[in-house]
Amino acid sequence: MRISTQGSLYRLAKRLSIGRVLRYLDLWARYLWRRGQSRLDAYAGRLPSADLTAQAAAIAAADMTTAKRMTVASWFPVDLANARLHRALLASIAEARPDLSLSETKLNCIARLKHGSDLAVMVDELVAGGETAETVNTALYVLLLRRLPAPSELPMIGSRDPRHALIAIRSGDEYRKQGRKMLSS
Amino acid sequence: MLYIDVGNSLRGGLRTGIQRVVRSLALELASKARSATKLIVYDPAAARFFALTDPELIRSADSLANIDPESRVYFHLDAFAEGDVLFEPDSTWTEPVSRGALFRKLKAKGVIVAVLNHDAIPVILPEVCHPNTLVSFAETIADHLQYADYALTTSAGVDRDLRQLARRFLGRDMTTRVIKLGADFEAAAPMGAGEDSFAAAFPELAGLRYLLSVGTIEPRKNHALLLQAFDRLEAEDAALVIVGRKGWLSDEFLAKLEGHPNFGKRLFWYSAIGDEALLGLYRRAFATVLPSNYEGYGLPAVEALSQGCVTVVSDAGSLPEVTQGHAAVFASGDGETLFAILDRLYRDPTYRAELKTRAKSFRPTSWREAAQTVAASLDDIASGASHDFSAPLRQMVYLSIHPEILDLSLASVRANLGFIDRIVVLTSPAARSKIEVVATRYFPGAVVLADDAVAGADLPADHQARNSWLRKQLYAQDAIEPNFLAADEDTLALRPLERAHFQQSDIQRPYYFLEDMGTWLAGSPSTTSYDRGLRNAWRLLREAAYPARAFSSHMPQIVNKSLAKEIFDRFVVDAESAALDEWSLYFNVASQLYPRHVLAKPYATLGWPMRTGDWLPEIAPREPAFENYCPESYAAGGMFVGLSPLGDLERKTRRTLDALAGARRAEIEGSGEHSPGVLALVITPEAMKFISTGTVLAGSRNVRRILLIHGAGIACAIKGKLDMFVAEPGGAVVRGESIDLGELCWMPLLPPETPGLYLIRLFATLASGARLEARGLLTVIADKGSQ
Repeated sequence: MRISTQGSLYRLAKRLSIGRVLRYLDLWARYLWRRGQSRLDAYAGRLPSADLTAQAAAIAAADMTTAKRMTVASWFPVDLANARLHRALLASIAEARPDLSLSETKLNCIARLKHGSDLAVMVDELVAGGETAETVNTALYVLLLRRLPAPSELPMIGSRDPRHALIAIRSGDEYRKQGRKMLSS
Repeated sequence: MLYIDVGNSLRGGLRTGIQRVVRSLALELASKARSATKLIVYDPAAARFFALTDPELIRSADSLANIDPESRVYFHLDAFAEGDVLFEPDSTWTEPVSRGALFRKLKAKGVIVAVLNHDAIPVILPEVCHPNTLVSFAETIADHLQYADYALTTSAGVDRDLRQLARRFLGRDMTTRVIKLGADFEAAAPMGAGEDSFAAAFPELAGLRYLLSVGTIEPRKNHALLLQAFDRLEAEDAALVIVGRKGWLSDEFLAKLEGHPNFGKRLFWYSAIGDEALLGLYRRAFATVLPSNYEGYGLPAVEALSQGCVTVVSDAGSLPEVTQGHAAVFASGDGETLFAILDRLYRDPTYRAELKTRAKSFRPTSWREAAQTVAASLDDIASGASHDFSAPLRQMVYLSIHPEILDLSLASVRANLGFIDRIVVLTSPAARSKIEVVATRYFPGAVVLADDAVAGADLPADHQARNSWLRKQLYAQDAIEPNFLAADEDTLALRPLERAHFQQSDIQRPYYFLEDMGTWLAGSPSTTSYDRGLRNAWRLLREAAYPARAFSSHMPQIVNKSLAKEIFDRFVVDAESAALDEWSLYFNVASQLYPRHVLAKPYATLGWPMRTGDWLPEIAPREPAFENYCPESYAAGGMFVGLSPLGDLERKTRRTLDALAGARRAEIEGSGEHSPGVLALVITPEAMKFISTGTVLAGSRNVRRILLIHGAGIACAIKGKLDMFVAEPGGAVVRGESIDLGELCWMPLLPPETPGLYLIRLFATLASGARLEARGLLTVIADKGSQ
């Protein structure tokens, strides 16, 4: 709503700075209300997590441009690995090929994978949840398909631990076929 | 430089289907421009690419091990340069290098990615493919859809399939070009140019009138249907020859084939034969049959026709398209019709003669011609010759609905842009008559179009989405010239400029105002359609591995008509498309594809941003020449109060640069004892933490931003109410703000007028009901720069 600047009431209010006084009163009222709530909530007992503290430290060390990038990306994240697209394409073939057992769990696992460290955590979660080695292998296979493994991941990939070994999804050793094994040498 | 990845064909050593295409095309392309073309292969043992010293090696080598070290020139990805083209004609889904990772890396260096898509069968017909192929192919086609600047396709059918996938999974299109494949053989002559040698090679076929089927044994090829039809033929000399290696899911069919009572008598399977033998088989076949459930191209059908062989194909995929009416066609899967055609062929010589005549009239494309077509496409992709960047710039194209503002803009253009002698204005039907009066006053031949006639009556409600859609439709109109200046009605030209400001020969200069749209914090306390358009464009460009500068610089910009059509057709597919900043979309993609023709510079606009408090000025306008006209700028408190809209360039420049310098000093650069640092609040669903580094200059004119950072990632949106208070050490509250969380990236802090140490307290009530608090200290120092 626009207030007419010609109104006598408006001119009087302006002369008396009524708007400013009202805004100041409102500020105080909100402040007192929030402080009261804060005391009731015993704020001091709730400390930020280690993750949050680490993130705060990273922001404090950043220049303004980097901090702005971190800000915008935190609310509007860019999917640089296009995991959502990959997941959607795999989901589209899952129905026609039940033999691939591309379950929701597996697709989510694939979509979440970005690094070898994600994989180690995910493998433990999946195995604890009763998932089969195939799920794990499919996820690992797709992870490798997206990029070359980092040197730190090679020992894990080369192991024959049932949770980590890369065997073919159903037939043929795709891993070997693609020559990835040779990278560890 | 043109790099052609031929690794998979060399690694596999196969000579059928895609491998035949890759070898033929690569050899022809490399022969055509040897010094400007490299055939490259990824060597997983060395974890590097190498280039073949001699393109002829692709003809002879059938495995990586057969290429000796002297024939390999290893190179690092850094060797790729801006404007180079990576061409992928191969089946790269089994390659050891992730295509997504490779494309991202190369596109960051300005390399153009062009792929050749043979089909999309594993995604369209997943039920007929090997499981490993399915997963690999899905991953690779995702990378093609997302990153490929251009996709060449082997038929209109494949082209349609690919673009449908892009629309289905990405909500956009692809820039494609359909090419023709060749059908001639490397072999100079078929085996058995004389009857004796053919008889010696295939004695079992003597006296038989055989049907020939060429292709890998796999369910999609539907050999089983052909075998059923063959079994019903009564002609005693009828035979069936199947040529192709064993493929996936073929055990059942092969067991039936090899256990057939006529196997080895009238039924034959040759799993590996050379080009000469295959050529001989085509030439002597009674008919060639392709009963496939789907074909992206159907090379055997084209090869058979090119040898004058009677050809029978199903109507699946691209087979009717590539056989061009020269083959007999039956409905895919219709065994009765297939049998009827074959039976009639054996019984009715007239019918066969008619099909023979049709086959002989087929005019195939040679591999040389095919390579020339591909080379022409790649040349055009690399050079941009078809876009005519040098056509003279003389036209200005407006979107306008306010006659009085357009009037100002046109007066400034007439006075300062002498090279503009014609305009096109798109307006609303309601404003058309008034706009026409104004436009023709300055440009008598002005073309005024109404948006309902250009873009339909149902325009998007969102401002940014509507503008993108309108510009896409407008730029395609006949009245638009090959190169033109695109403008909004609130653009004022403030000093005389030559055409060279925008165009020098075939070089075009767009102007940007932000290096990275990912730093665009947008307005506060609420975001606008423009903000969302900028963010959507940023996300789209980054996810497709394009640069992401902000080009909506509120000044006229030169646009190339055909390139704009190509880019908007790809990214703005319909009126329902997401709101995008169309300026940034066009110029970022254009400058990546044509770095020699589209060279960006920092912007030259005054009055943008409209308030310096809206925006952290990383880039100040250089050599200002334009103004983003806004009546509020001339009202009390406005930046240009007391100045003339069409003049006062120097004073406007000084005021603008002073304001930007002040904002920079307060928030970015600092001076003297002032070091701005960062003010930020990290918010998670469970806790908040305030970060304050550096100092704050006293006074509300030194407005600062408290960056709001979503500390919980993408798992859940954080919504709720946030209150901020600044209090003196004694407890008196001196400043405060209240905002809604959700889309905002920052909240303003108007610094107290008096220097000192202040307590800042932030309280949030989230939609989940959680109440959070954070607090910190603000060091407010005197603003000595203002004294």
